[in-house]
Amino acid sequence: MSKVHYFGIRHHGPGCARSLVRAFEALQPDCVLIEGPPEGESVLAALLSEQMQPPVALLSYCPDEPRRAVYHPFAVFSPEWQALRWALQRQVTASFIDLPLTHQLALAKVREEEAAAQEAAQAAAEEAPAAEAAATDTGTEPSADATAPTVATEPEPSYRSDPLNWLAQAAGHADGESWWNHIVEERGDGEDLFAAIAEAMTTLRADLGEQAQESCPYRARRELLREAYMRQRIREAVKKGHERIAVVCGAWHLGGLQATVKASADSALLKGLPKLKVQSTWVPWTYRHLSRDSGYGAGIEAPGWYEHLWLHGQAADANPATVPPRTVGWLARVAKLMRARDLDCSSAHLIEATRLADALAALRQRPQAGLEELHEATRTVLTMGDDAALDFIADALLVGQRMGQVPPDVPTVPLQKDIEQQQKSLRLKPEATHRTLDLDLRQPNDLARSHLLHRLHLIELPWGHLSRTGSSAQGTFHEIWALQWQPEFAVRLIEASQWGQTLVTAASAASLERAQKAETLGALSQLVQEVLLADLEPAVQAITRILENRAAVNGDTVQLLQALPPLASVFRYGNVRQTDTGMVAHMLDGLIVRAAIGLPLACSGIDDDSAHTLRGILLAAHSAIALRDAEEQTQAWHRALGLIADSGSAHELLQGLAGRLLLDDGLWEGNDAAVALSLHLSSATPPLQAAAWLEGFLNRNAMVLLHDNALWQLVNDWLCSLGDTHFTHILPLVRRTFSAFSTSERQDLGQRARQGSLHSTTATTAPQTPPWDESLAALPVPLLQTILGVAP
Amino acid sequence: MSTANALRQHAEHQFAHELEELKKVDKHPRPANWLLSPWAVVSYLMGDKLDNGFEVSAKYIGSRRLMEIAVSTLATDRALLLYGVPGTAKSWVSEHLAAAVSGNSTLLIQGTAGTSEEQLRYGWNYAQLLAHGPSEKALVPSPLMNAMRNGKIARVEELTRIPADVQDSLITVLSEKTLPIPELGSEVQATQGFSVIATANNRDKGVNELSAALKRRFNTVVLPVPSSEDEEVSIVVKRVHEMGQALQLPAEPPALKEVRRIVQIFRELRSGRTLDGKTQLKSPSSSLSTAEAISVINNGMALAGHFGDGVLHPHDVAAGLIGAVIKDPVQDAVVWKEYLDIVVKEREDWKSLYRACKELE
Repeated sequence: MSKVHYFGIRHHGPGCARSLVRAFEALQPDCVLIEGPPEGESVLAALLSEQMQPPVALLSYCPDEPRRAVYHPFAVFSPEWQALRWALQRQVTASFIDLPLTHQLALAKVREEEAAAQEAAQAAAEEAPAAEAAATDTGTEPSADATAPTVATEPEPSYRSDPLNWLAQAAGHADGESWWNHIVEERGDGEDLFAAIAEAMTTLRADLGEQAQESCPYRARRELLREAYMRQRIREAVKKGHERIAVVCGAWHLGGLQATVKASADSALLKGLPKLKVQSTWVPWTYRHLSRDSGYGAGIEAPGWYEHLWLHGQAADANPATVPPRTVGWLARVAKLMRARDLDCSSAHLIEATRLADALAALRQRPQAGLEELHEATRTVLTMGDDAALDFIADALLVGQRMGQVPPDVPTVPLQKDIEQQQKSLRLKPEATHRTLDLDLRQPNDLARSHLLHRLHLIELPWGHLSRTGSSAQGTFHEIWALQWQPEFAVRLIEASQWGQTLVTAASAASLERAQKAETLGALSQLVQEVLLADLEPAVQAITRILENRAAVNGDTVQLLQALPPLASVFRYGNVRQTDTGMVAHMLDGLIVRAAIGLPLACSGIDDDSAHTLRGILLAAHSAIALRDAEEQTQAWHRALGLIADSGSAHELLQGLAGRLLLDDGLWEGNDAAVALSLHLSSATPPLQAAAWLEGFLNRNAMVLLHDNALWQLVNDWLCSLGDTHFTHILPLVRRTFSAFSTSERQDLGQRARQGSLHSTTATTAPQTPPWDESLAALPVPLLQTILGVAP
Repeated sequence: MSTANALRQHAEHQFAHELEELKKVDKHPRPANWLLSPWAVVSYLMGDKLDNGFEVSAKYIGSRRLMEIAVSTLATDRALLLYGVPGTAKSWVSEHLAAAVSGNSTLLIQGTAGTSEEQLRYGWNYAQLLAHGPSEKALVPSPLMNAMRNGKIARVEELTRIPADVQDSLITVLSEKTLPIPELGSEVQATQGFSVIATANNRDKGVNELSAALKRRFNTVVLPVPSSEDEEVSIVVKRVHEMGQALQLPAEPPALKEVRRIVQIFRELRSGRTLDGKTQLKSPSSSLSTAEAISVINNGMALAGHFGDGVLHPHDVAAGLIGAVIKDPVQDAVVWKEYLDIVVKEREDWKSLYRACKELE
């Protein structure tokens, strides 16, 4: 008997795992070699820790380029996981023998660079031979066309991605997954299983022969290298004098590992591979990311089901007499989920469903009911044949929300430790489930949580999403967050650690970097707001200074105006968050004055489109200045508006708007407005300009016209005072402006006009629409989202 | 009992030969009072080639898994509820299941709005009742009671059309497996092998919704409309062929092309879009089931055989087709007209059908 024993497994197969443990018990190997990255061996010891709860993933990354990272996920039912635990518990040598990621990542990098270079070369080449090709196109092009598509459309061979499909088809099953489930995972027995798998796989690989080769040369080479490396490591283990070596690898590799290849050939193949520095650590993982839908290559259909199989197998091994049948355990889970969602499900239902599932299994000549039988029984008995109810619980049932946990002493970047520390002290546990968090910012703990979430946003780690957006959310002392932890945040954390070792320093540094790169003042002031929300005092000062400096040299009034609203809302609502707003106020004042000075010029000599854009910005800035409510600045602003309203050079739309804003703020008397109205709409004014002015003056708002008595009076009097000719002349312009209003608004206006000026006071007392409170309306939104099943 | 020239034979007579052959090779364990093992029942329904070379014809064309669920349900002596839109072979499956399981598909109660409790449980022969008082002799057993006594399958058609209070008298029968006769102070206990197959259709949902208590006593199998065009065509061709024989229609076997066309029209109208997915259509109020497609073809064959040249032409099916689609004279007529002018007219080789349909307007 050879010293080396091969165990071909399927990644994340509970039946495999169970059989593997049994086989190990029988064999008692003194050396366990597992297909996995050797870099991970440094953190293997953590596996035995009490706090290590799968699913977890081995994360290997290049410290210099954290984006180059690879995950190797493990669930409790992964054979590799069980093999590792078995070996570590008994102090048996355990090694990962796959081609080191040092090389794999380096190879990937080289390939990327080559591809990029090729692309660049192609792009460069395309220009030059364009002329040549034009000259000789009849000769070369048809042949190129004939070969190119055949390569491109050649389908990815299915057996390569899932060799089991072939065996399953031979056995008359629809797909590899159900076949493997039936033959391997759902059965409890068989140490001989591995011999059978090995035989099947080697035969399959041999039969496929040439076909089995990867079509992509890069991947084919990588596979060759991996198998060569694994063979080398196995030889090494034999040389060291181990007597019973267990090799655990994906079933597909069995043929390659057992092939007779000379050691010298392998070492020649492996010579001179490129290298990259790689570090490894454990990160928590979720079942969602283990499932196939997440895009994980070795993903499985139903992690929840596999977990049930494994747990049940464990229980059955421990105490076969008392453990309830597998079917019952599963249906009890179904029942629990259904009840949690207010769907009827009684014990009597479960009894009948169990009987049906067992009868179905018997009819199909299977020893136990599998997932398909259980699904069918559930649908037939529990949900009256209704698929919708089953779909409703399918996700929780089949995928599950379990999230792993790693011990605190696992090597991590300091930044991650810092964040974990904060999560703990704020009692904000990272969870894979989607959950809503309502923070009351008057509570110190909630405020700290809000700071944490905002800071994480700054290092591009969107754990939480603010459900409500815009200034309305900051106006109240509530923040509603939708939280969902994603395992890939682990890599983002490592990326972010380039900015600092604690969250505060990292977030500050990250936002400073963004501030330096920011192109507009608006973006900068937005950043100031974000940083303030994250309570990063030093960063606020630094970024404010950057903003001030930029504003000083920036001649673009539009940008200045755009910077105002975010700052004003920080100033106005900052107190709720106990942030120091003195500095913001100072800067805001400076900005307002600068903007006011530049404004008249910015409004002059522009075309219609720019005027329309500027109108929105102007209105936003106007309300921001009202929020600031500082006497001096407001005066400066009003002066600027006055200049625009009276100037002949500003765009008419903005002239009208400025006049309107002045009227609203009480700086214009009714008489001023009446004069301006008849002036701008007099018959000598070119029609288009007159129309633009009127549009600006009415400010797209029929409601105000309808309810503001003074304004109505003004417009009405002006219209009534027109002579017949002038009226006919002006009518198209007024119509044009009024056509922007909705039909119902126009109708209301018409009625108001018919009532005449005498009855006009009655209309103002009866508001036609109830006041609309956005913050109240937003309250039921999270609930509605839950009901409708849409993620925010 | 049935005679040789009955218009329609019961399943157990029409396929007696197949049942006999299946019985011969059936080595699987047989539940008490079952004619065949569950395995053989599924083979009977789905069709199979037996080890001795005998070919069993398929009765149900569709998912084998559904039939397995149905048979397993009966094997665990649960009642079976077949659910689906009209014309999805619910009664057909029910009849064949009863024939294969207990060799008798005639223990049938037709559910209507007028179905009374007597029809479900038992009635009295009033002459006997007056002459001798309540006695076994005066009792008129229902098919359900007979099925219980003999361990057979009872069939209830259109369960949801039966008034709710009458429906509920099934509850005791299904859960306690007994039918009390208080007048005689006795009861009828179900013998092994007894079960109930009920059918109900989606369209009548809410007419007499089953009570939760009754629902719980049924395993529900939803029979879908055929999943692919090919499947539907093969169902129609097969049934038309069988019925053509039974009705002694003189025409040639229907041209596959014509059948395919009818099936396509039905599928398109049912799903509200053309097969190529390019055109949106209105759907008529009629259910346009496979069963109706079969009757359209049958109708056309009769026309072709008796009044035409024996070959199925578009003008033979046109009348039946219009009849099947237009159930509501106002709305459905609009739907059909649109379909004719937007879809049928544009299709190059459908011109003859278009003309045939236009002539009938």
